[in-house]
Amino acid sequence: MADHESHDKIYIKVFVALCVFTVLSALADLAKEASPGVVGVVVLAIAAAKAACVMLFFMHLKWERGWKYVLLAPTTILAIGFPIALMPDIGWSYYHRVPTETMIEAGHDNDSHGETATDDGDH
Amino acid sequence: MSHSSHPTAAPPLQMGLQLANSKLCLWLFLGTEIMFFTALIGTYIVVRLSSVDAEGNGAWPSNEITHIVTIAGAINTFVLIGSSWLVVKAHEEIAHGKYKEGLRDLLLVFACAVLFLGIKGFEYQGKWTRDILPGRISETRLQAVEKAVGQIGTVAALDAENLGGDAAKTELAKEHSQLENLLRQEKLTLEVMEAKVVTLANSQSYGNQIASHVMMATIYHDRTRDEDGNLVPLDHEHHAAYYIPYGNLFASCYFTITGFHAIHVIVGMIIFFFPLKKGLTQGLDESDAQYVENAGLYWHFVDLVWIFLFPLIYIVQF
Repeated sequence: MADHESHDKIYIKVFVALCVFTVLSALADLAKEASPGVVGVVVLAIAAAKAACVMLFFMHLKWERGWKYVLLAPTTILAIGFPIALMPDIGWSYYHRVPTETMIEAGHDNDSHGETATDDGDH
Repeated sequence: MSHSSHPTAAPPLQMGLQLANSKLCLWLFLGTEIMFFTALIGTYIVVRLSSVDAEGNGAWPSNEITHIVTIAGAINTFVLIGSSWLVVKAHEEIAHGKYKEGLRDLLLVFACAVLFLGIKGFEYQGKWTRDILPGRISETRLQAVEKAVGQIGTVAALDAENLGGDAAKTELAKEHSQLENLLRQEKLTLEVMEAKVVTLANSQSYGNQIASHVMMATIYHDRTRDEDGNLVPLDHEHHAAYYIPYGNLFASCYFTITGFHAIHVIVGMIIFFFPLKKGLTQGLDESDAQYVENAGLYWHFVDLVWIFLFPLIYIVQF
């Protein structure tokens, strides 16, 4: 029974912490003067903290045995690796070399005004 | 000859992990779900970072343009966090014989899921009425003019009856034809096209027609009428001839990611339906504790995904 009560208290504390984190995220959205990059890093750090709370306490990973590492490590590595693998091609190089306005004009010259910028970029 | 003495015999069987098979299966399933959503979210981040203008600055559409309602996302975050807490509470209660309290909390979880979908539906409706849908957003000035012409034609054809019968229908068709010809004849360069639309809008003879037609087109499309079915005035947000660079990419990402998440919420409601039905008809017992724990793990994952979607879709502006 004592164990049950202590878990209840932990769950309430986690719930309150999650609510506070959410309020902080919403307040960060109101900070119009701040740099978008800083706001982005802050709200994503808050999201990571919230995710840790949910996984450790609500999903009981804090109290589970070693199997959790075997099960979650591969998915975590692949999940992080996927966007990193895409970044050099899509995120860093291509669009900087082919500005948007150039793509729009290319579409117009071909009288293909219905095409999107991405379609034109394939030329 | 015994099997154990055979050189190629399988190793002796050992006890499995010290957790229920159903829970292990659920965790393996969640492993695949993590891969699925991180692929979606990872792609979204990469695509968003790569959406730049001619100078290389970020050009992803702002929340104001795409009608993202941050407060709605924040309320939904509270709803899911609250429901996650209620699930663990319900599991603890059922595991300790407090079946009535457990059933009450499961009912509240179900209500939270309904509330979440209601708020999400409100947000989707806002996108629908403003035509912020994949493949329907003008991304260039020329596309915006094309879309306005198309909408004008649609309204001229469909709303003529409501505006005065055959005579009005003939008049609207004639006006639309003139307007469309004027617009299409000048489709040589973007600059000339845009200048012509501005000139027409400012001229005495066509300005009112364009204004009224675009207004009618938008009103018709938005289906915004008052309680008596009369057309209502436009606010500044409702204008047909504007364009959003990367708008279709935004809409595709938004509806794909939040849509798949909403499907998971619906699946969660189905999962919770069974113990609720049993609880309301026969009453819960200790055998339901494991099911509720597994259902809770799934529900926490749904919450977990939203914890990342909220900042990435509603707040981050880079």
